[in-house]
Amino acid sequence: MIRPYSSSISPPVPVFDVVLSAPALDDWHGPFIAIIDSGADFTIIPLIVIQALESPAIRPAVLSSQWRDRHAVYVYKVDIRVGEMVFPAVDVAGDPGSDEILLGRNVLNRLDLRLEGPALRTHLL
Amino acid sequence: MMLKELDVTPGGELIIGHAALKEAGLAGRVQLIIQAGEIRIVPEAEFESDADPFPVDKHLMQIDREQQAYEAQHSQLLEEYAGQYIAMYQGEVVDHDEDSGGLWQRVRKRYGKEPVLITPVLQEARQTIVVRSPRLLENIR
Repeated sequence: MIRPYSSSISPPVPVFDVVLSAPALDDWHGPFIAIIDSGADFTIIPLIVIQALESPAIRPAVLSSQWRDRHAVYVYKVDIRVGEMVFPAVDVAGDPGSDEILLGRNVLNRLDLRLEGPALRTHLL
Repeated sequence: MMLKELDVTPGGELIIGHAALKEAGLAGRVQLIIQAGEIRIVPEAEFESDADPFPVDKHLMQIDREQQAYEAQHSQLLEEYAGQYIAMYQGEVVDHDEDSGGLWQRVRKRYGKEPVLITPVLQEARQTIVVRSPRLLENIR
């Protein structure tokens, strides 16, 4: 699968289309554009999307940046589909303050990706 | 709005005096709502109206209670389950696994939609998720 970078952010950013469901319900929502973010420990999904999925919370956690600011969040279980690949019951952080999906390393480390920067496109191998 | 008669006693109690409540329009009967680390004080009539201004998520409240139980037992659980995921239900560890997905499947099968805390047992009692991706705001279109 090949996906062009998104130009909604400058410089353009690698993205994938993802489809989401509460675990094992097969009630898929999307597709949503997810930013490929290897700087994020976890995948982060807007809370409003998680609430629409009716995904279950499994623990509280703290969302932080490299400057150590701290925001209380909950971690939820979500099924994530990227292309033909389905990742069941992934731990994701629900973000009450953002409308972006960040595909973090807990998902990226299970994908074989090639970032073809000069052509502004991502290959899912 | 400046609150008056708001005090924390040496014993650690938070006291909100009558003047402060009156100034906030809360001098009558009130309800306390404790949720997600916050305490809200609302007029009882408002709380009982059809349109609940602060809907209480019972699932999250139970997850918070399980987290409190987990934190109270954290040092002991760290000795026993470091590096694993545990499932905590009604204050007790009911299952554990190195694989979060496998643990989730068993918990779901056994407890259905009941709130069950599933957490990695780490040095810190509450997991910190770091996002090292600052954005240059002037470049957002």
